[in-house]
Amino acid sequence: MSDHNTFLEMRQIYLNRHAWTSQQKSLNKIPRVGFICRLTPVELILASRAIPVELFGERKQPLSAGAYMESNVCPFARNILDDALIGRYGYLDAVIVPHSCDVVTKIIDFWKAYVQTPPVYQIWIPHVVSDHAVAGLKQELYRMAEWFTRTLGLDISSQSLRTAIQVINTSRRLLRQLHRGCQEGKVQGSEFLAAALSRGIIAPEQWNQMVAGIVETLNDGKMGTSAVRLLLSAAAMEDFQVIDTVEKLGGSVVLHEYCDGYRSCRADILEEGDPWLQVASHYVRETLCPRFYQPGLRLELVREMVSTTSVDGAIAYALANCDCYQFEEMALTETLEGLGIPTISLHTNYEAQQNEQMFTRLEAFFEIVQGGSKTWQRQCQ
Amino acid sequence: MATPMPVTTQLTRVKALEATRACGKLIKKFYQDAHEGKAQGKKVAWCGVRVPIELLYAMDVIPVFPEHFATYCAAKKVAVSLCERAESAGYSSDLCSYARCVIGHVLAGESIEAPAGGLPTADFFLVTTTTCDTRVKWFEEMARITGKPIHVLELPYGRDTFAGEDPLDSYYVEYHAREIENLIPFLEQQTGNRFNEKRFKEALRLSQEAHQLLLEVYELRKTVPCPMGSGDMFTDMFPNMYLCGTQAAVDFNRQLLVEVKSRVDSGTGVVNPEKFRLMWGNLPFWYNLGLFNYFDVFNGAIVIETSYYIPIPVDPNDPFRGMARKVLSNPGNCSLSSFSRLSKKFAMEYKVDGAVLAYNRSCRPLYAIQMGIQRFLEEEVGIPVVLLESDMADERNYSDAQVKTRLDALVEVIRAKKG
Repeated sequence: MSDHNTFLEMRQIYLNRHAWTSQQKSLNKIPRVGFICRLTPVELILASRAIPVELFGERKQPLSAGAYMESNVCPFARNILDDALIGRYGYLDAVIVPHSCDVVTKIIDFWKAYVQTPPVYQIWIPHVVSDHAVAGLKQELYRMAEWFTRTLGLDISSQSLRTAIQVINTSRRLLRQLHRGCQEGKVQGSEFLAAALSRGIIAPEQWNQMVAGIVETLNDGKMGTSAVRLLLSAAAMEDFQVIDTVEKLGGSVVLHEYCDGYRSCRADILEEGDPWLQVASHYVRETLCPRFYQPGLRLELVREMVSTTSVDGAIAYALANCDCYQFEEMALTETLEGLGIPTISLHTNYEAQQNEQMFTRLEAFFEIVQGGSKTWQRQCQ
Repeated sequence: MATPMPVTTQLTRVKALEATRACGKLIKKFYQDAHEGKAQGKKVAWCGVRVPIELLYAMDVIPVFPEHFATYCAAKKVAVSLCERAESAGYSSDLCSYARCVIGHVLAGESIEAPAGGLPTADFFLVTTTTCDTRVKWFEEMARITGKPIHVLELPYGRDTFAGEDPLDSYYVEYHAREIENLIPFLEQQTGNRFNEKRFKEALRLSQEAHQLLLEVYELRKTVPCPMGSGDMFTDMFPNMYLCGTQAAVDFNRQLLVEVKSRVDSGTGVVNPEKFRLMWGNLPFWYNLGLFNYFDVFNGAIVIETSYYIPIPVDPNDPFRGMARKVLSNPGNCSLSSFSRLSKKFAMEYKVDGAVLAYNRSCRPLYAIQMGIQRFLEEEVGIPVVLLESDMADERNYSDAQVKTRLDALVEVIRAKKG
């Protein structure tokens, strides 16, 4: 199989990300700019010579956010705010919040009012996929660059942006290779997730080196076998609970259709031409997040994924109170079941007691899947 | 806390405005006309809020509004049945209750009786990205279910540009103006009707006139005692949200202004004498608009609401940018700080003693900021605030006893504060 030690190291870095990042910063003094959600054009952060640090929710009972947001607010956003309120992001020099969805958009308001430092910037991202939207986002990128200069004293030039695009494209290519490794049984789903999540924490060049080392050994590895091969479709997939449970039950997630997974690496940014335009075009056209208006494109991606890699079932995993994903869940489930792929919907609000429920539901799902898709099709009729 | 006793001074509760009663008839006529127009072969567009309907009226399209229809269903007590229909098809009960209600209506067809004969069948869908992502996904889903075309207009998120304290972002104004222009070829294709600039400008002129009349009404509502409460306004917002660009809206607002002015001239308030004044934040509970009268017995009135207020009327001389400016100034498109500033401005100008904020559990973008607004009003403005947890259309989340206990507590605090 794969290089377990590096994957384990990446998993530990992600799980201890606050302490790890603080320590790294104390060593190299390079500014850290936080970002929420893969809709953020991280190339600009890197082009400013800062290191992008992704902010994740964490499955826990919030300590302070309850005084600002009620319990039915998206747990991912709420728990990021909680970490900010209790001072876990002291190592950040700035935070970028994209206008990605209704609740993430509102985090910036609370951050400005009650966290206050470090400075926060909001970038508007259009919803309608069009040339007009690309032009609109390009304008927003210029504004964001101006803000970096004005607020942080960090300049972003076209040349530094081109270099940053190359570095992040390398990360994308490496993550794609790991994803291919999952499909071929050479990388476990939990290992892929460790790599995908740590990509938001470790400096891109460093992460590229670590993963390049793994990729070199992939061809030497043996093909693993798994009784149940699954597609995991989700928004934020910020903890290991689902994939660890699948593996405990003897299955494997071989297709990772979520924000930090395959969707974040499936396409490179074009390295020729105007780099500002190419970054804008990429984030508008290639992100395939349900918050965009692009009917059917994400479903096409899912169809393409399952047509090239056989799976026995699918998990549609959504955060509670996430309208964008929950609306698309209907069409997603219909699409997958139309292809004869049994699909289970799991929703989470980060409550600890859900872990056992999830185990039980997945266990039952495995029995159905192992009973054969014909049985499932009969049940669906 | 014990229930506060009603005041013992003589109370005169003034009935709803005549204009509000007339509005009920206007709403019925709106739906009747829509069905008749559809039967005559006109195209029906199901529209989200802030779609440039002046353009639609100028192009002989019949706009109908799923959001309004959901409020209508809630008021007529059928929203829950329709939500349940959607939930039985697999839609999560976490989703926006307006969306569940109307999707339930689409799925149920005539099997669940809906008010006004239901919405006339859509020929196409129009929606903007203002306020929430949910609406776009909801309309996208309805287009998927029905197989009808949809056009989405992008409205840049307004950040902090509301309330005239900051100039509107000129790039965003240009951006949305182009989006409105780009709607014209879609409408021409769907309807076969050509765009007529003269008719469009006339619709904009009517929109501006109606809006200016409405802003005069807002000014008069600052009077003590308050001549028009939120209970009336949440009904009377109908022509101002859905009939912009028509003579009917102008006529309605003119009648409303005359009546409100008459009350001001005679010193007549919603309650007489008026002992305290409140502000309402967020969408009302449409199935229980009677709640706005709850404070009558305490001689209190809800005198202003932050929903549906738009500060900038359209400028007919600069049609597309003018429409974009109007829509971008809509507080629903803005941040917590913008909403907080609007709440503070209203609290001061309307001299309120407290605020009632609705925490509508399925309205994502608005509920996420309610606790922030509450803190802001308490800390920055120094007024007591109560947060009512329920939902705008799904009555299953409403508890009358809990709501009234909280309102009673608010009355106690205000009384103690006023001495």
